Amino acid sequence: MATTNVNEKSFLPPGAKALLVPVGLFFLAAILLIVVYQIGISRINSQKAKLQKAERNENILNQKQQVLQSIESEVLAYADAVSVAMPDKNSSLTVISQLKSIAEENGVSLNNVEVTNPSKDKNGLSKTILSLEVEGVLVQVLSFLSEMGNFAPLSTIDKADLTQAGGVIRATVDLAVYWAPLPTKLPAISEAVNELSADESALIIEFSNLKQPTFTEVLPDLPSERVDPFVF
Amino acid sequence: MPAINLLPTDLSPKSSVARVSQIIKSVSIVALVIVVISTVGLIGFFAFISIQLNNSNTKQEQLKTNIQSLEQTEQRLVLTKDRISNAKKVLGKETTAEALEDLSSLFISLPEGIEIREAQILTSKTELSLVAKSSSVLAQSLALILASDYYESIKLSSFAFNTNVGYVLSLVFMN
Repeated sequence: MATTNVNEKSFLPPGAKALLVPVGLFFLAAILLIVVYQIGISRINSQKAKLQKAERNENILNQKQQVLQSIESEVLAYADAVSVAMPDKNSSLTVISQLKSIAEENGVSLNNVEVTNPSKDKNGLSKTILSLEVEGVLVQVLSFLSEMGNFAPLSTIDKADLTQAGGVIRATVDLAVYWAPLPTKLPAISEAVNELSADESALIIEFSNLKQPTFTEVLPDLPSERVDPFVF
Repeated sequence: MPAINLLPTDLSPKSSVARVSQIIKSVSIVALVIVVISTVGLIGFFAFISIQLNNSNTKQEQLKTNIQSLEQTEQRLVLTKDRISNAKKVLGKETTAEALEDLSSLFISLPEGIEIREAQILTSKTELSLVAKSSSVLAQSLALILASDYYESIKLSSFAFNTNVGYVLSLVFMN
């Protein structure tokens, strides 16, 4: 027959035994609550940060697409006008052609055109100086000189000397002609792009209104019938 | 028949301890329920944000494809802005254009009987040498030159009289 020794003392008092499970459960719940909230909230915050960054990039790309679509039809004309005004290569020959054209229009004679070696200025632009002599009547020479600032490519008159002999004015002019290399890199695809400002648009119109150089296109000869040289 | 508790009385907990134990057990159960609900809520919210992030990434890829198809337009825009930036450097340079224009306006306004011998136009100054056939023409010309507001200052650098040509004077205009 089983007997119970009521005189045996257990390790824990009965009160402590009764509280053991509930307190243990309580601590487990508290720990789980803390862990779930800490991990959950940090993960959610990290995802939210990623989402905000993604939305920012999306807005930038959207804006970029809109800008590019809005100027798609006109940008070729803009690029042409500004490229002629500010070329990427030495445009001395183009400028000489322009000067000859203006000289003809104003009835003055253009002589002794000299071109110096190219150099770089402090702004990073390349330049060369065209020295030229113009002869004619005072009014025509002055008109020629004033038109020198109104053609493309852009140039600046550094110096002008006028002398008169026998009713004929001779002007010796130093004209600086500029060019700059083309950009070699496009911005990253995710980089924002700004549309042309009012100031830039005004400059494009100004450059389009400059006297443009005329370029002659030499077309290849079309094939023609070959005459048989042995037929008389 | 009365209830008989065969357990020795010293083995059962006190009633207050039993009550506290019950309360703690209830709070724990509530806390566990909150943990479960919170976990489900947090997972749901995380999933929602992840779906939005996924959608945004998909839209970005679509936009990048569209922008790549507009690459030529972008190249031309970059070229245009680059050329304009360089052109502004040229337009900002000192030039004699304005001085030439002022001198042209001056020449046109001078009376007959005055001739220009020499003119040197620089960015900072203009030097002019004139010949006047008579004193009245000279006085008229000087009055016109002084009345013009094209120049910051006008200096008479030389003045001479030649019986063959008339009055010869040199002026320096500061631009």
